[in-house]
Amino acid sequence: MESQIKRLYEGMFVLPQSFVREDQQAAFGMIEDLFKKFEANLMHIAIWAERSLAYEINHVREATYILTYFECETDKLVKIERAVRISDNILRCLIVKPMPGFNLQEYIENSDREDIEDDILVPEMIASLDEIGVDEVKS
Amino acid sequence: MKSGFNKRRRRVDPILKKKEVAYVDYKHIKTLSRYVTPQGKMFGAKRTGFCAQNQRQLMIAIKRARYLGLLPYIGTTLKD
Repeated sequence: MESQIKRLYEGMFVLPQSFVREDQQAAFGMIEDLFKKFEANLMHIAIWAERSLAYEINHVREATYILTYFECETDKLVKIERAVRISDNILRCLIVKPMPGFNLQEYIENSDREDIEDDILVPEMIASLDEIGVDEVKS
Repeated sequence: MKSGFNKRRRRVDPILKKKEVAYVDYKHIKTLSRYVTPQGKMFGAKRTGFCAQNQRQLMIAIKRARYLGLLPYIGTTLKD
């Protein structure tokens, strides 16, 4: 059987905040083991955010979002998702292709910046919304 | 006599107007929350002024954010 080409994917894992705060290395280790099991090359792993969930998942209100970038064969993605579904500690998992023009090296270099969210907002989009009178939804 | 009703100009897509590749991702919660009502419903293309491609991109991003618990399926006003 021919070996498939490994592609870059972005994986977001949602874990209970209490679990990650207790032992962050164990949480990261759990995800690393998962990738190792399915022969995926983990390129980057970091905590993306710690925030309260918009709705309760498995009686959990506070969650930690762990963002990963990995190279993997396409067939293995389904297996990773299935393993996550069985896992008790991972609330949600989303594996997607990175956005067009994404550069991992550039992302890692800029990942420490706090104002990164502001880059994403397109000024014209905000201006057009202000014209209509749409306010930001307060959660 | 021609009526002025059909002469209304369609608004230009805010993303296309910039002429750069802008991409709405599920992680851009600040941006996404601007296109959702307090009840948690998405705005239509008529309201956002997006072209079909960008509106679809927005829809996918909002649905992904909802799945991860970043945005609510049902907003706070309807929960009580």
